[in-house]
Amino acid sequence: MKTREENFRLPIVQEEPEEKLGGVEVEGMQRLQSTRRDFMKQVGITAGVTAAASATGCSDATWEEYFHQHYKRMSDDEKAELFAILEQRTKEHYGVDVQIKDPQPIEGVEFAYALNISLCIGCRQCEYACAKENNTSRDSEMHYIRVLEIDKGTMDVDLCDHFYTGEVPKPDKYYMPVQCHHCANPPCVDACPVEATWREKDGIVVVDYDWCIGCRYCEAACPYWARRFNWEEPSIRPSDINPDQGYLSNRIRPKGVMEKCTFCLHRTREGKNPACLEACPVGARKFGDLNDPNSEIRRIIATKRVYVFKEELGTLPRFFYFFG
Amino acid sequence: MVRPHGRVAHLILLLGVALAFSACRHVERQELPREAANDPPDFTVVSRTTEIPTYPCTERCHARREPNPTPRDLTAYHTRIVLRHGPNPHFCDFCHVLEHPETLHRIDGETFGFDEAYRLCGQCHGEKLRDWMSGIHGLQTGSWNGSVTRRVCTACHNPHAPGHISLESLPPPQRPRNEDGEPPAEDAEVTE
Repeated sequence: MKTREENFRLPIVQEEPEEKLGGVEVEGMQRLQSTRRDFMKQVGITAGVTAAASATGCSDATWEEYFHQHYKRMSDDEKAELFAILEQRTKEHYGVDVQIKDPQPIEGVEFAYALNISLCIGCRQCEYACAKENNTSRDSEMHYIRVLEIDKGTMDVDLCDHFYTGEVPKPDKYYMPVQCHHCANPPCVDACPVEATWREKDGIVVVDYDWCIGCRYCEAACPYWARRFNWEEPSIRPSDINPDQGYLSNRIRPKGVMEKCTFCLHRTREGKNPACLEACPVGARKFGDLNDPNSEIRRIIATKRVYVFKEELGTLPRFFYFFG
Repeated sequence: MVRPHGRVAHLILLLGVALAFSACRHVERQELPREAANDPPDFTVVSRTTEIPTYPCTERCHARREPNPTPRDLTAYHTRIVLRHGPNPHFCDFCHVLEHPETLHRIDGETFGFDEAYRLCGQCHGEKLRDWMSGIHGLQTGSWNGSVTRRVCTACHNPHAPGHISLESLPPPQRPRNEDGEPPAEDAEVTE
């Protein structure tokens, strides 16, 4: 049985296999692969440069930008080079100076989220704060959080409405915001055919936007309707762009890729709270480290009535609803 | 015909099942430490006094005007205050020290300012105070692993007539549209 890492083979540029078949055949094969690789590289450079020149009017498009490695296989130098290019592109396209960071998981920390359903009033402040923080496309109204309005007395989400308007909370309704649950057993990760999405050490499920092929299998696999697809070029006013960006989180995504909540990893890995938590006017949202026995999240799980959404699916979410 | 030792075996089996079931039903519930409410807080509390325009009460008015502790409808001053809190009718001096209205007092005689109003609220709402002290109740900003800022109860709840917070919801997402940019017909609407 191969592990996930062993299984991880790149479809495009790849190191030559060493002594796999042995003898003369290997030599020939290597030469063949090598030749093909060089050829593909040349084609790639030409195509990439041409595409870049026609699309953005820039002539300095590089191989690194268009055919860079998967996030996990990039060295620090390659990352720095790529981030500089992406910052440059944002500057050219939107005229905004942004900083793309790559904060790493904190050792020994596993993030979890808890939401107090008894308190949530369904005002959608979190939804809009999230959009603002994460540079999501405004025209397509791509919101990572979906607030469900459900009749009191049922927990059947098939009967919910998320297009409600007007003053909230309504007397006979309760509200249940749903976003990425950052499952410990994420079906979306299993569904991805190119390993463009994975679960980080601190429990955050991330997407390499440049590796994603946009097949939307993960969207179909997610039982929480948490993944979103960029149907069109993202539209954000330059003044609305959040310049504090993370490569795996809120940098401006290209068209045709999947994206979703990342627990604001560019904030949370630096000790801050997610944007949705800070925006909640009733303090229904709690965030913290599941491994710290004194964290609020642990106290909630130990002392409150906790509800795991679609628990029966075995996805082991790191997002908990509680009453109290 | 039922053999006697068969009956005994049945009985023992039944007893065993019942015991096992009751053992399963007994779930250890962890409680928050009770002394939490009396510990000095290890977080910053957003001050309320700067948000109250007539603070401090004594300096602003009550040095010249003695408070009237007789329960009545407030028509001359504090007209926006309606007392609708708790089952028993009580008046200002139940919570405010009459001589210095900017000071609050508890039934046990402890006095403190508005910024520590949670100590007053906690005398009835003990469970909520415990939750608030441990960060479970209330809006808490700052850092998840460092310094934390909380708001006192009265920042969100009106102490004179507590009720539910009600807001205008922000706009909903667009309904799905078809190729022509039109919303789909009502019968074709997808509930999800």
